[in-house]
Amino acid sequence: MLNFLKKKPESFFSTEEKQTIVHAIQQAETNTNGEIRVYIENRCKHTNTVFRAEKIFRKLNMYNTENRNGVLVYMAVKDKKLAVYGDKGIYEKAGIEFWEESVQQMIQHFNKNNFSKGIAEVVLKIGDALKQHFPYNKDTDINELPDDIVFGK
Amino acid sequence: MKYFLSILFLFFTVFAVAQKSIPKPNPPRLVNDLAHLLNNSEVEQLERKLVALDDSTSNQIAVIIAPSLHGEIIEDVAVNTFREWGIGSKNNNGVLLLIALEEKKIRIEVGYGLEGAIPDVVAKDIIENDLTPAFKQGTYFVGISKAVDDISKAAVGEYKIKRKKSNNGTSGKSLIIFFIILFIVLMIVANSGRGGGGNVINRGGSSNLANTLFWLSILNSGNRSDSGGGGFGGFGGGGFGGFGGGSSGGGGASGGW
Repeated sequence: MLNFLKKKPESFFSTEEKQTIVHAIQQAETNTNGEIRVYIENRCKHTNTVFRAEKIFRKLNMYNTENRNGVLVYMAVKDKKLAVYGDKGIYEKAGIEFWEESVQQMIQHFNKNNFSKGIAEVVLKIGDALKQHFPYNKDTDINELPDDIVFGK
Repeated sequence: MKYFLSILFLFFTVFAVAQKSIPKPNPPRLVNDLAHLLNNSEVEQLERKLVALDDSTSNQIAVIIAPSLHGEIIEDVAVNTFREWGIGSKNNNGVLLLIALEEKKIRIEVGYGLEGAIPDVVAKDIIENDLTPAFKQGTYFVGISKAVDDISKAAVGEYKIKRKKSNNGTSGKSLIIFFIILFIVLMIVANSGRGGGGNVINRGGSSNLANTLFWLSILNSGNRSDSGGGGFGGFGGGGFGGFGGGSSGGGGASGGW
């Protein structure tokens, strides 16, 4: 009913902050054929945030990478929930601790209200992991997915 | 020692998460009456209806009647089960109707291919109009059968929201809400009148407005205890004769701040 009064998740970040994140994604994706995307929305209805992230992952067609190495950084700004979801290839290679660490690292920044910094840092961290496990091959690698931030409702 | 304990704890949480779904039947069936709520012929009748639906439209509706959720949250169980069984074929057009008897909870989990056709309001409407009244009277089969019909209608865009209306036109609830809104509006008017300078009026007014909107949104979002749609993409696979592909093998971690 009051949709028009809702604050859009886009407005959560300033233009510079968005740029910081996009730059981080681009930097993280150089030298690897893995793909990283960032999704931001207001609310996460699911009690399990990973499920929500997985759903978005699917919606964004992120399973369509050749080496199953897409990673989604998910954030619900009003519900203060976040998740990192990795496809089979990278999830198994990086190991459970890596994902837990990434989330903890983001939480630390978020608690200090450094949202864009937290995301950018984790994106770079994921980029490093991708580089390690899926190094760039200049003959075959193409940027399979766009590098921008995706905003939900 | 502390370290060891926390690892042990972590192990058990992971284990508990893994336990949250309902085990997949073998051979796979669309109607799974684990609580033996319906008799055999009713189960068969429903199963035939759902298989026919799956064959003709590829919309896959699965029904699970569970005796108990063992303390788990129905949303989690529904989403886990939906995911692990792979309900809905390649187009993610599956729907899971999960009924938990002990908890008296119902959940309609919609795959994202059908989310547009069966939004939360429709799922809620189906639960409130078809299932809850029938279950209260103990006519479980009639309720489930009606719900399944309506879900399949909604999936092809033929369902119209019923929304109970009392004969007097306005129901008691909307009348109460009307008075609450009236009261809030009056309060705003009274408050802003009391303020002094222009600036103050403005600020008082807007924060009150924000407050009002907050309460309105709460009123709006209330009244959705055990219903709701929402959904989760199912995993690909062929038509019936089985559910889809199963788990993707990916994963991640989550937290809050």
